[in-house]
Amino acid sequence: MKESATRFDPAHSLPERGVSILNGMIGDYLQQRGNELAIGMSFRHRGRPLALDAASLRAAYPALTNKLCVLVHGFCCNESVWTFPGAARGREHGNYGTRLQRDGGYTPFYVRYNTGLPIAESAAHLAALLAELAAGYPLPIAEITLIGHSMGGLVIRGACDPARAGTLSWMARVRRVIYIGTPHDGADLERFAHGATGALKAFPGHVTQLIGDILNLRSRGTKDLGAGHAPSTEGAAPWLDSARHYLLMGTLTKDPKHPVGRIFGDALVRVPVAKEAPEPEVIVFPGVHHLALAHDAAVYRCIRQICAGD
Amino acid sequence: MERETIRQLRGLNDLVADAVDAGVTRTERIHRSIARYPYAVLARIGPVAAPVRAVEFVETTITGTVYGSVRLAARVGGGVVSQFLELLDARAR
Repeated sequence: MKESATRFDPAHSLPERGVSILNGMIGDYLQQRGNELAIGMSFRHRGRPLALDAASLRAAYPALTNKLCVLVHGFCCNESVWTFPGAARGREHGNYGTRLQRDGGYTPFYVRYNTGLPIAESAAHLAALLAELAAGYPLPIAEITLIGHSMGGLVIRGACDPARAGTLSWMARVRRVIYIGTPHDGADLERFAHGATGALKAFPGHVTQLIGDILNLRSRGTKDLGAGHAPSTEGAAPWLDSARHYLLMGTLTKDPKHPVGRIFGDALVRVPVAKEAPEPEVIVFPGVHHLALAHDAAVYRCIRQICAGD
Repeated sequence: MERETIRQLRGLNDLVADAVDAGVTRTERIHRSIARYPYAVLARIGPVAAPVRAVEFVETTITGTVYGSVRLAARVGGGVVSQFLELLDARAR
């Protein structure tokens, strides 16, 4: 069960990363203007869009299995965020997906999307994309594990809204959902940006108005991060009760109880207070910052354990 | 050149054109609102009011032409780049 990751993946190139950052910052504007830099949501295989018919899936994955894991990246990123440092230069099993393929017999699928769009819109796209994958998949699907980093977790949570379950058969196959550094309770940085924009625009000066306007250019996706959930009509989507949920969080400090770690969390997201099921089980990785959570050996060991354990 | 790269360059060209247009328009608006103050003050002084209005007219006409020229140059430049990219795309097909 080996999948080589040795070929250069264009997702790691500077232009591709730049386009993903641009989409995070102003992706809603790009889409509204019909700009060709706007990213349409798709599964990517070695950086290229993956067609979801049986023949294309068999060609891309010669050793398809009936266990799927779907990885959804976070804000301003693309699927290259999952790559372990150094793996892009040619090591095998370079990310959580390829390692789960090696260790657990999963077939990994990587989503790329426009992180500047409202989270609810991305969630609806993901739900539709998973339905297309399930329809075109050449084997009966036994289970699906969903893994989302940061905003990707919010998109997954929105896509798994039980309100859609009646029309989407794939949802019954979701065994577990792993949220990595996901701000279910909101991201402080976006709240700060929101407050700063309001304060600057309250001043009558031309310069403060201009800075406020520039700050306010940030995308709908960014603004949604402040709310901390995929905004549906009733607020946060309920947890999909047929799946188990895990929230893997990092802290800047080695001691998670250190005041810096408690206030700043992993630099962008704070560790939430643990709650009872169906709320996710919270697992903390001290000393692992927000981006590193997407490609950390200890986090992977935990994911592997979760996937093997239930 | 790959078609994907050409597509991205076309998007970047459009984005730069949008940014220049919006940036120049915004700068022009701020420039005008700041420049209006001294003219408004001087125009209240009876003997100099008429020449001040004339100077203001000349100044706003010149600056308006300059800002308009920058917008026009950006559009023409963007159009030329766009045509060039279309040519590259046709070759890559």
